Amino acid sequence: MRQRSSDTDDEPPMQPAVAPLAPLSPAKRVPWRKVLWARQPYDDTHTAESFLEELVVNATVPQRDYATVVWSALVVDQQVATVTAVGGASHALYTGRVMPRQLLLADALLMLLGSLLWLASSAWAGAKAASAAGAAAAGAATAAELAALSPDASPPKHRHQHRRRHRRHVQQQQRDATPPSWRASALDGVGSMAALALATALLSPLLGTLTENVSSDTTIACACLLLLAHLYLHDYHFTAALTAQLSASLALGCAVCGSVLVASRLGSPAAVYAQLLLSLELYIVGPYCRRQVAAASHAAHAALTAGMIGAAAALLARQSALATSAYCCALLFITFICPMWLVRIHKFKAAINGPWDEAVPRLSAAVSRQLSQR
Amino acid sequence: MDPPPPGRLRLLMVSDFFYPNTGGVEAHIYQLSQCLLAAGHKVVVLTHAYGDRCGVRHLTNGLKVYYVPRLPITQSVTLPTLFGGFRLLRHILIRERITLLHAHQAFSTMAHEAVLHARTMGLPVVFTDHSLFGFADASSILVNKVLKFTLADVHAVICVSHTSKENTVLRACIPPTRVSVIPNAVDASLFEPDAPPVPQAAALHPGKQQQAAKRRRQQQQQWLRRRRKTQAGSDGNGADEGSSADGGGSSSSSSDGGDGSGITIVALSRLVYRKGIDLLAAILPELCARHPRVQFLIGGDGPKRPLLEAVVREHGLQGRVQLVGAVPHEQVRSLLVQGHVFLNCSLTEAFCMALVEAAAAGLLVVSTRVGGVPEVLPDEMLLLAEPSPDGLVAAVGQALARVAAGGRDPWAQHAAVREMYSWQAIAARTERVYWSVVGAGAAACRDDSMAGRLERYVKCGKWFGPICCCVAAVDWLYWRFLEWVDPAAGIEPAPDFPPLSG
Repeated sequence: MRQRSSDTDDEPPMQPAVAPLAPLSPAKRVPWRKVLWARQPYDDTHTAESFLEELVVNATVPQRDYATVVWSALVVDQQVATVTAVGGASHALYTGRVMPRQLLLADALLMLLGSLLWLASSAWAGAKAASAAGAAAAGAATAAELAALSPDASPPKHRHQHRRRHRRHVQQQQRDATPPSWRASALDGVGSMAALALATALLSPLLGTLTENVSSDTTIACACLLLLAHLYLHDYHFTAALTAQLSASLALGCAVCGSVLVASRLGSPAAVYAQLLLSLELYIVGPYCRRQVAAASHAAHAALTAGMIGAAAALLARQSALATSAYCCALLFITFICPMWLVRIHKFKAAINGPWDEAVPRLSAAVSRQLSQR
Repeated sequence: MDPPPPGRLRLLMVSDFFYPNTGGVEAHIYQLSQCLLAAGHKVVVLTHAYGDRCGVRHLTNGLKVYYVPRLPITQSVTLPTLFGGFRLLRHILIRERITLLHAHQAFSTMAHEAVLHARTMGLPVVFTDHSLFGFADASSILVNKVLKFTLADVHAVICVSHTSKENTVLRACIPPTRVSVIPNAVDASLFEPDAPPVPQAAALHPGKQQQAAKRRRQQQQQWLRRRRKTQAGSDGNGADEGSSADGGGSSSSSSDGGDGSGITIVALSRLVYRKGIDLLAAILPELCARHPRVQFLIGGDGPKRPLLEAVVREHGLQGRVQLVGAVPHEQVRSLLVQGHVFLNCSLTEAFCMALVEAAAAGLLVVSTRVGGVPEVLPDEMLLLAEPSPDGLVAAVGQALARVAAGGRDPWAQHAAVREMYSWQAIAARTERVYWSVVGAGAAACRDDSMAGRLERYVKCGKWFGPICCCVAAVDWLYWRFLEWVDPAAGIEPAPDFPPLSG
């Protein structure tokens, strides 16, 4: 092009460079190739037949069916029921409908019930794993054990890749560190529960005066926001530990903080203690117990969910009809409407993949563990 | 505003990325500008201030660069302000009497804002996208929305590879016929092989002219060596590097294809996750075990360097793997020519300039099959591998076998690469895009009135479209306001330097 303009310097060039660099019109028969290193007799804007040939849409997107999604939503119901139960109990304490002593008794009963459930479901799951081991090879046994430990051995696919990798890693650790018997873990649980109860008892006089110079409205509003944050951040399908992930730790922190705020308005140390103990039992120990039950059997999981929802509704019904109906509507929405919604909007999902995607290096588990240690 | 002489353009290149920062985009803008200057156009570059480098600078051949005072927030991308830079940009456009704006890189906020404002002022705009993006994560979705808004109203889009074109078309929802593919290039003369041309190669390519060219290159190369030595002598730090580079170079030329000492594999990139350093760390021990005579030379620096160091330490590879740290661009060649095989483990690349540089230096290239990499070099120079340790180990094995078999002529390869990629050709192709946009015919087939623009913006989406329209309308009002407060007639035009000849 520059040659051309030097040839005809005096002539007014109107459209100097529109004249193509190379003769483009002849020899169009040469098939176009997707290469950059060879200059081809085609325009730079040429769009070949093979354009977007390697585009893949929705390759790894799982098909969702309504029943499965409803079933998965039950854990959300459980958590909502938990939060409602703690809130309802606090309100009952606050209005004087329930005496602190009664609630402490209820705490103790709940603890007992939870322990029994834990033991029963552990024994049940252990028996299931043992029978599976008897039937299948050793490798399958480990897998079954793993499946029994985690209700969600195949994690939801829409989660991010690195999270999945992380989870696999966690499961690996868990497999290495699974205690041989549930008795040891039960003893361990009893010990830590006792420590928890003691620490709460010692702290409750202090916590009772925490928000003395803040108004009730502010405290309750803060607590409500914290509990909503808890419901949003909670890890509903945790595998190894409830606080293995940052968001789940935050969720637990939110829940405990919300409970402390509510408890601080209750006045007497006994009431504070009873309320805090209840919330700690339900927020910290509850998820493990429920996971164990869910792993043991589907029927038990459904029954436990129904029981929790019913208990929370009964607690609430004695105090406010409006709150009870709001609670029931929320549960209906979460259990039936949201899954329907999810399944319906799923057809609009377009996960686009192609050669431009960032490759995920397929390192073997051993190598990636070795690398991640550094 | 007085128009440039016929056949000449006044161009403004806008990007957040420019020298002293280094990378593919920076090199592209600089080289393209130099070639366009050589072709007789006026080129001005607009970027943000880098440290105390603020204000107007003149680079080689009168390339004027505006380093405007704007705050970079992350990875030298400026804080998005939407209308904040308009006043200054308008002054520059009017002062320099710009006739076409060329914006670079999809995550440069300056480029996006400049496109919007230039379109408001009625200038034709060309946009070059240099990278690949996914569709799934939040940052990609955000960038893709902004890109959709920007590309809705530009006149032409340029991508650096065919894969990049597919990607950009999908992300911005634009017709593929509006997108040109113009690759990057390398300045091949900076990446000449070290070994002198062997006699057989000369016999293969007869002709006095070629021999003369080779002689010239040889002389050039000797001169380069001498200059490197004097440079190395001038500062103490560079002294060992220069001498080691020379030592390595001579050893590699003596052992070319021979059995005496081993083959050297060179890897050179920033040591970050996206460049596949985890893969490299995973395969290093296995490669060293399988090929006991192979040496590794790894250049570059970054957050993954401790990982590589730990792998080297743990497997006792200190004698075989050399981590040389960051390599300034002018020393890249001296690093490359010490090796026989170039290894690239990147996880994503739109167009990998490093591959072309290595090929120009006569190395056999092994790379992961990602993005636009398969398009960059022909099969005889490039071995592709799946992005997994097994795939890479196998491909490196093949490459080593090829090198050991001999018969590869680095100078022939250099000549071939020189033929494939040159900035002059790239600039000429880019210039054709400019003329297709500026030419008399271009205006006829496009409605550049405000109504036409809004019509294009509203097509961006049910909700997003009207938002785009609002932004464009507000920008137009702001422009009218600026015209009222600070009329264009009051802005002194800058003389063209070097002067544009007709």
